[in-house]
Amino acid sequence: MRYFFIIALAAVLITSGCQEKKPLPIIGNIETTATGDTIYPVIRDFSFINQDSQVVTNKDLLGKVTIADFFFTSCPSICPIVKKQELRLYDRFDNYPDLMLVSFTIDPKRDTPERLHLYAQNLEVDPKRWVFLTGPKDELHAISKDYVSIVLEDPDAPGGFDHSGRLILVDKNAHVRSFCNGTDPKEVDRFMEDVQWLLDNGGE
Amino acid sequence: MLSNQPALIQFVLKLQQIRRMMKTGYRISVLFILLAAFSCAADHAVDDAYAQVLALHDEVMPQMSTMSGLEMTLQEIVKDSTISQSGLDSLQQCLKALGDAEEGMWEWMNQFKKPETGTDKNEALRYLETKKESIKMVGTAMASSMESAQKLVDQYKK
Repeated sequence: MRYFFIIALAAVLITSGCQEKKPLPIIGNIETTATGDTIYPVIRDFSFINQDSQVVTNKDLLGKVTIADFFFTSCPSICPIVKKQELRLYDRFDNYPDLMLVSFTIDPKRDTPERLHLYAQNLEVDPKRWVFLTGPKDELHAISKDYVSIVLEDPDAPGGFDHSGRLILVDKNAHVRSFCNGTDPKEVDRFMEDVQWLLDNGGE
Repeated sequence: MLSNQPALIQFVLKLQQIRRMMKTGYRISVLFILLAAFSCAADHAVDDAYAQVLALHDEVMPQMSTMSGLEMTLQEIVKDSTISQSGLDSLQQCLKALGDAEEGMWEWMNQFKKPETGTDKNEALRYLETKKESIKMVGTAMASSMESAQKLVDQYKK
């Protein structure tokens, strides 16, 4: 009888210590149509060129969980810090083929596919798991503004392209599910748990 | 006693030799410490100058996003067919100034490199001083083009 109480007490302590993580919400302005349908914001369609000069579209990323960021190779301050944190994510989730990192350049004039290739090579990352995208400046700046508008839940968010060092988690259906300041390792720790939750829940 | 005298002299001479060696060693040590301190100070001077340039860059860089936003807004305004030719001319002129200032910032960042370790201190400081002045000029061009753009946005977006 005495052992029963000890085991019961241990079970209570263990289960109370393991709080289940709350589901990740879909971020952005959620609209309801006249017919009562709910419309969740999605990342707009895009078509860019990767570090191996191949076309990558949003359709190639559907069915995958993605971590997106905006950067440029000659960035002297923020980007190297964020890339270091992204490498942590890259290493931690190396057993998850359904996760991809997507880095959009905001300086396409200088960040050609060749330069992005060299940059990826220096980071020693697999192009199947981490793509670096370039393309027309207007389109890159527009998609950057799109991500920011969803993250800030403000479709009229001021400013142009994003250079905040944000990391943005997008699910298999192109919905933004989480984001963090990529220059802050503690925020990235929390973000990692969100990524893990999304992957454990089928990416949606 | 007499037979021990050369040994004693030798012993005293040895002591003097050791003292001289210690003195020389002490002087050399002091010299090394001074040299190390001097080289550390030199490294700090370059690091401090580099940090100053980066701080100036970090002040200017966040404005690039605002500038790109203004550029997008002006591009929308230009599509308005009711705007007069002179109005369109000023809009195009402003768009060019924004574009030039933006390009100036990208090029500055593209060319800016941290002086490599081992670079001559004076050469590194001269380089960083030039970069400090040029980033200030880039910042001024950006601020001036954004001010003009904002005026046009206020004028046409009423």
